[in-house]
Amino acid sequence: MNLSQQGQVSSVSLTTPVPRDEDVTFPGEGWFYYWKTSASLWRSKLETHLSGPLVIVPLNWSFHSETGDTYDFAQHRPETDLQKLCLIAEELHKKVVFLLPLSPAPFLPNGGLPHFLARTMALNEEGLAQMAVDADGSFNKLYSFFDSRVYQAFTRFTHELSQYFSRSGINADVIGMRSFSYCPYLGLRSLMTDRSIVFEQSFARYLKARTEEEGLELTNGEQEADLKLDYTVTIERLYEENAKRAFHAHWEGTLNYAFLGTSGEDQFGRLAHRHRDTRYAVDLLECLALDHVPSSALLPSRAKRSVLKRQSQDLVLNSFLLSKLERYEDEESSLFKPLIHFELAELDPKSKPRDHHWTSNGLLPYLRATYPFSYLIHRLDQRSLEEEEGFQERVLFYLGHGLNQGSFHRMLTRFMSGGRLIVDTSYMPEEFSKRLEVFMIENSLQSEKVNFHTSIQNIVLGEGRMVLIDGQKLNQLEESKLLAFWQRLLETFGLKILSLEGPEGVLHYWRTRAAHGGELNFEEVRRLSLYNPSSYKRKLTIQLPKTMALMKVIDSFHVEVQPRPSHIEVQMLPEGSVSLDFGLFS
Amino acid sequence: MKSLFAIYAYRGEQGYALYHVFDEEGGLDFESLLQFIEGHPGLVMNPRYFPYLVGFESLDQVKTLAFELCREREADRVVLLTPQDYNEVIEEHSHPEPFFQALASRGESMENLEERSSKGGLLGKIFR
Repeated sequence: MNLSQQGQVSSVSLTTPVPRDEDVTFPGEGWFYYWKTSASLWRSKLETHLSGPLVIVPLNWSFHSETGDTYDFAQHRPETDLQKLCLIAEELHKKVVFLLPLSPAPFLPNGGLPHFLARTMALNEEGLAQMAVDADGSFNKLYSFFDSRVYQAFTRFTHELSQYFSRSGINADVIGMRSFSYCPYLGLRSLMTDRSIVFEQSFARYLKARTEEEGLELTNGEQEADLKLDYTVTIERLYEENAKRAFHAHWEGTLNYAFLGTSGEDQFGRLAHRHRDTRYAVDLLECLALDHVPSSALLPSRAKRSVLKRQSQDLVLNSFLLSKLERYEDEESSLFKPLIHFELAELDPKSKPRDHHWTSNGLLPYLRATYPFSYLIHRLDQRSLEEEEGFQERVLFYLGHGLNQGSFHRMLTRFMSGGRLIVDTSYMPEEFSKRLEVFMIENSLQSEKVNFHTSIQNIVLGEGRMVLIDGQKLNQLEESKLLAFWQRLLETFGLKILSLEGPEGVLHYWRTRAAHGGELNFEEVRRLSLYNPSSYKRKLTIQLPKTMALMKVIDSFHVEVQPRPSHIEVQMLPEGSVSLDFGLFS
Repeated sequence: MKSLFAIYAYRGEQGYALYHVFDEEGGLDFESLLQFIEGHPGLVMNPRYFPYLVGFESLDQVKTLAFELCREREADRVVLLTPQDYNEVIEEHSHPEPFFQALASRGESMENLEERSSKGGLLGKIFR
């Protein structure tokens, strides 16, 4: 292997491209940078360049307050007039949703902090300065949110802004935004993370307080790392609670945003004007699977003109985001929501051992290869049953060693409510093993035991099914046996999933909606979106099961679709994309 | 002169961690680094870091990897940077061009690979 070719660079710009005006003000996913264009042009720009019902407006704190003490909401600069922006949007039949950064915002200079508050650079866990390379190639340095002066100024800012909302009759919603970097190898990392001297000093005070109040004793580095996580979460919640209080009636919750192009190698590559456009298209789908809203705001405009732009519009803005903001769904319920067949419990970051995860027991590699992006990896213990409409249709995966009191209780509740669960019991604390046994005895549940590469117990209760496996034994299996194991096990769940046979490199993503009045033959309608981000032609075949019928082909771009009696042939030119709607019946 | 940059840190009992390797053509990803290490039997990774970071028991191993990468990427020299070096440069700059120039003047620079290798020692052994 020649490492000089390792950059996997899809294209290199030899000259600095001049970004188009609309790319500067509309960085993607429905966002509008109101501070980057004259207020007199807002109407024409919104009218011309933004489709869809929503205008997502990130709030730029430093634009309204240079010092952190005084504020400008339409008093001096017309571009600070958020009331005017809302009125224009209303006239254009669009709804403004404000995004309020609750952590350093990588798309803003100084992470969004007013100049005088940008005092201590935030450091990541490796002690490296947190920064983000912006769409124009400049650095946005991120500063510590653990500085008490920042928190006090944030409190004043949210108070002033909410007062301005009241005075000017703005009734738009406000959503808190937590920012994350995304790396294919390291996953998501919160940009709130800080190990600067300011963080360490405030953490020392937190530790002292807990020592005095609870008699806490710090005995090892692992414990200290866990406490730092606790402290970070505590401060994150302080900012969130503060914003929630200030905007009470406007507040619509918090979203996690993952910024594409923020891994270490991406940032250094982008500093050198090298871009891995093909990979951003994959990263976007990975972020969706991690239950985070992907943002292409930091990517240069040239990276967003092809497949990524269509993904951003179709999958992020018009599907994932709208499904998160359910109140914006239209009355006909025509929204295609992400189709999820599998939900994997994300570990609490403090769980031990950390390295035993869905990758080592072979599940995630299997799902990635067989049902790409039809899964969701998130904290199952943080969602109530009411929030998980339709969970009975999915297979839920739990890790025994990631369980706590709350998640164990929720796991059993889901099982008793007809949920289908697979629980990897490796490293499950004895307390929960015993409670599981007691639960089975109390409910007179019988388990069917099978040995297939590992011990498997199948337990049924009404519609509910719980399969217990010892994932530790799977770790030693060779790859082909691991794949066969998961295939055999998941086949027993009888999932209605369409298989695709095609070359690597074609990305696909499934969405679903309920059937409308005129579609009574069908139980539901599923939309398959196909993307070819490569510079090669691709051909694939879709085998149609008897329970699915092709309804229509839409948004075809450089693609030819040929329906046959039992299958569909799709030929895709470079950067082509298409969506196919299927009716599903029993 | 083409420089290869490597940011590493001493992490006490855990030895040395290599955080980033990059040059003016971009950064090396984690998987490529792992593959490169596997292809060089003289390099032994500290398993305590896997799967999050590349790390070694000794600084010599970090330097050896950096030199091997330097040769592979056809760079003229290696600049070993500590987080502090890197952070100071970030603090002073906001644009890529002066950033790379500033980095090149920092850290521990090791040049003239052939001369070094001819002198023997660990690096010499690896280069022959």
